[in-house]
Amino acid sequence: MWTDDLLRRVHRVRRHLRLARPVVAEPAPLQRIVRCGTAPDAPRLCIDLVVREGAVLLVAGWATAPLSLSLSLNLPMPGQAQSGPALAQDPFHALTLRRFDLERFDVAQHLSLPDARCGFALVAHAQDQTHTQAQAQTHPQGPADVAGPAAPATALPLTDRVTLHWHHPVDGSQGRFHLPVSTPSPESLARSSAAGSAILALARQLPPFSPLWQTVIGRCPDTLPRCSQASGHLEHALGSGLSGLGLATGWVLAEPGTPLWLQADDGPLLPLDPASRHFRHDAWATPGQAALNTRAEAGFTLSLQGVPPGTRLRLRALTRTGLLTLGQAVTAPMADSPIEATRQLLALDPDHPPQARHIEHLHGPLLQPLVEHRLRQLDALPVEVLQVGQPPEAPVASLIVPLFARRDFVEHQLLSLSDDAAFKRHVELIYVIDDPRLLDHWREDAEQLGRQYDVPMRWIWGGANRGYAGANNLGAAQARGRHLVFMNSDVFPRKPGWVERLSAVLDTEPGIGAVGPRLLFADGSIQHAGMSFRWRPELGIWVNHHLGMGLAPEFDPHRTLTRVDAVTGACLALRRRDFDAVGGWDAGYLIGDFEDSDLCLKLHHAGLDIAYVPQVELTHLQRQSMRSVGDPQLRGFVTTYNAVRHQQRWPRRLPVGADALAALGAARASHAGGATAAGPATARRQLA
Amino acid sequence: MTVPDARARRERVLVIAHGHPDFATGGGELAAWRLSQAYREAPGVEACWLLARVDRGRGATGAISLRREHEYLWEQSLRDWHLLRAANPHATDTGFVELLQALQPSIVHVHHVAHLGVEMLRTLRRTLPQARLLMTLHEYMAICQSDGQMVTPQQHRLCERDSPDDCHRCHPQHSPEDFWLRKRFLQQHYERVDAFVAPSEFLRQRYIAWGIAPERIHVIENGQADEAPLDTPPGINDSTRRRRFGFFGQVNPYKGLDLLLDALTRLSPAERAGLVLEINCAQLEHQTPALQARIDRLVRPLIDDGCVVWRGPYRPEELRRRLAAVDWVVVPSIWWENSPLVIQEAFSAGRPVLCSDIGGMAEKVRHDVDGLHVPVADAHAWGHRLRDCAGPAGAATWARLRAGIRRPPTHAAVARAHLGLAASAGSEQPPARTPVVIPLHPVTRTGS
Repeated sequence: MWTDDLLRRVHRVRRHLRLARPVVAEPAPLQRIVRCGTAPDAPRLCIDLVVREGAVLLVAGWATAPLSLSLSLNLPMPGQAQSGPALAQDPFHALTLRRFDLERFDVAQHLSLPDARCGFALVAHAQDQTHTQAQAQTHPQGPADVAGPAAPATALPLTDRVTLHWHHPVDGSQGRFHLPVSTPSPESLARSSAAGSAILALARQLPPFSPLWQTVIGRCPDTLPRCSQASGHLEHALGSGLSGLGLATGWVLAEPGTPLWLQADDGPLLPLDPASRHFRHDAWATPGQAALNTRAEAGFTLSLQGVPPGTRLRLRALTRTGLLTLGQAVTAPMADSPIEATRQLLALDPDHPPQARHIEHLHGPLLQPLVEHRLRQLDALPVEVLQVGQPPEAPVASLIVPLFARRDFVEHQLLSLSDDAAFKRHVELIYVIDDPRLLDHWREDAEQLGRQYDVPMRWIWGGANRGYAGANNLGAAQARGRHLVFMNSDVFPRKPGWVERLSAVLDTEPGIGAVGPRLLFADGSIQHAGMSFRWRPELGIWVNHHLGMGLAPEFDPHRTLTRVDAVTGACLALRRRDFDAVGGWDAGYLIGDFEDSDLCLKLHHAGLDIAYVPQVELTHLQRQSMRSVGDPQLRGFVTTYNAVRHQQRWPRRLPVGADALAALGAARASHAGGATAAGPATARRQLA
Repeated sequence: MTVPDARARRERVLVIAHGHPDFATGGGELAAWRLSQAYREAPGVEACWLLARVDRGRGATGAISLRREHEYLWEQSLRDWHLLRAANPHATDTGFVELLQALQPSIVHVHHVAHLGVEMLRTLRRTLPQARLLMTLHEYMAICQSDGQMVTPQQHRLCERDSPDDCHRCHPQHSPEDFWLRKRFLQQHYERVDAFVAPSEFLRQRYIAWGIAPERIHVIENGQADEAPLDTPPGINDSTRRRRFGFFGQVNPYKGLDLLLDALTRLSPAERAGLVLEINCAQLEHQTPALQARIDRLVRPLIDDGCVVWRGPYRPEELRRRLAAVDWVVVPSIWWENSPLVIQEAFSAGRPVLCSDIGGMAEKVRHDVDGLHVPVADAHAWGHRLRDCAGPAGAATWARLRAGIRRPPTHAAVARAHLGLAASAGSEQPPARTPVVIPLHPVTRTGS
């Protein structure tokens, strides 16, 4: 704070000032400390800093008395020389100022002043034509604005000289000093500790992140890295070249009220306030952090915008002793593929997989543009179609089966279908290859299977893995039946005539939009008997609950067609025109999950019910059709992402939070009045 | 006391076990399965289901699936052996509840909370407030955290009673206060049970000391198949020696197989001439390398000598054939045991039993009546006992002991006893003052 040099200068000035001198307008650049007036106890004034930063003029210093201060610009009279006594009568272009009273403990202590608020900073917007009016917009009123001539801030050319006018309110004395305006380098500013203190004090006064604040902190001195007021680290930053969105993670602990932000090189300044915070055990347990532990959640995850890959980011804090850079990182590129990007996001903090609320606000907005981009890419891919055998002339229904990971199920499905004469006559069969690993000899194998089982079929390869929804939509685009039946590759009919029975429901019940059969596991127990929506408060998501899963079929309380919340996409039939009217399968989900209930909700929204028919039974192996990529953490994330998207799309039916419990209560009440009125025991006796 | 006629009501029984004999080799799983079969055939029972825990190696998914008609599998596990809590408690509140609501049992008979979790006791009581909840205690897991053995894990010292300090010494990672909390936690959950079944009086006394009221815990023996005792081992008549001994069961540190091998090793070749120990066992590969090495080291010279024959594992249907080949069955366990299945099986086949003189073994085998006791963990004593039994005087002893064997109750009898217990547990009458002890069948002496 007090350098020896400064002390010597102060002493010299004090000795100097004991000599009485008349007050004159000083033509020469101001010495640092001057006396305002001739009296022995005249107040002293010290100007630490006169700088112009862009369109902002900043004068900082201190005074031993509460003086009124104002600034005016010095402009040379036409034809006049720059210097000399002729400047005594300058054109008086007053500026509107904001004044900040600052605490200068260093001055108060040395001069034994009673009040430490002897410092001041005068901020004026010296506008030039290139700056917009918005620059003049001031923020919440600071302490007493200067009483100066109330001339509006006019657009004046910038100058390198200003005049400081002072006025002592008590004895009425007044005077002025000329000040050269400089733009000292940050380094020289840092060396001048008094100036730095003024800037710092000013910065801490201003509302954080306001435009003026952003200007001023550029001039703040840095503080030593081992600062006790803040500690932290910027660990990762990811940015998408595609969307410009990204994510930064790290941890930071700071005294309350310390502004924290991420600073991009040549880029935006991103305050840390909106970041999602979480507990970091390592930060919390570090010795010496106890003083900072007012906030337990040291970890942060901040959404980034306008930070392309390759940008260097710095985590900074404005402490009492200066600017602190806590860490820096270069933004790594986020993959364009949604799944690869998801893996990258999970790798940022593998010990804390994101929960529903994080996914909703952080990861969802990041991944959504990537998903949409991918869909656009997929739309542009060519589609190959192979027709094997002679398809039915005017099929009643089209059976669409997407293939992923395994093709060997096809033969087992054809085994059942080949004995079903009505099927071959009225249903067109469409297989959609959704996995490049299945391309080996697919045409030859398809032809061979068609010959062997005498079942006509169409095979489609859409150029890429599109996911459940995309593959099904591709199949539907090729379908000609007036009913569409979507089925997983590991679902196997138990008896012929099942498609007719599902179709019959669609033909005879106009109020029903989609129908699904009962599905059994290989061991004969229930795999699907309708789905209902259940709220999982500990996860913050609505899930699709399979009623009666694992029980013997005798315990299915439903014996005939029953309306349900939703049926599984593993085997689902609906009318072509309804499918088109609701826009088909929504392909915005990751990999696959919740598309079936989404489709059911779309149909419901269009005024149609969803039906479950227990009398039609197929076997669903189910283990195979989990469209997982193996990693349980990724699967968990994908499920939560899809669930969050699902409930965001259907907030009335699937409200979150406190509303969820109310909705659940209502659903339970209606359910209790319906199907379970005749309980399972009754149903059993009826069967017996 | 009068027991209301179980035939008056049609019961729906659910048996819950910690394993299924199709996948696990333990006696407890088999006993539970056989009991469920017996329930199904018992009069007064409308239906009986078995819910058995399964481990498919992919974690506790909580999924319930159908094994065959009337048998369900539950993919559940424990996450915490200190408090015996389930790894997937969500499944206990959802899928398990759905199963209970579908089956609507009037009696639920729980064997073990191991691998399933104590939460299910609360869930059972909440979901089926009218059902009678029976629980068979097969070991001392609620009392003792050392695998429920009441043997100290390091030195294999026998333990009589739990106490927070003593338990803490065996398991220093838990404080004495942790053990106080454990006991309270388990006792509170066990409160939901209407009646406990102990296969031995010894175990019953241990649990009474732990805190179960005497009138709530009853002794019912494990049942056996209703088969006639085996003939004497073929090709040998009474005048020759009874030199063939059989060890049956899992190999773990508490079963005392290494002790037995040590005992044989101490005998001189003359002393053990002609003596044969047949080892019918499983799970050696699951034991610690130290135990495996020790047994290997002991057994090799004995096998070379012809003193030991390693028969290895056996399926349940092979047991009688293996028993047929031996004269005596040895149970050298160094822990208390409860009611070892092998003793019941030996008696069912008409084979006297040599066992340690403690715990459930000493209760089930009456010294000098249907078997002989040997001081526990005493290799010398075991060696002498084996030598004497194989010696000239042993033949007469064997014949006398075989004649003293009482046939164990059949599965059907045991099932009826349980149903009677359930009926009284649910009746309006006050609970019996004395425990209900189901007498064993009277002796039917077949040719010796």
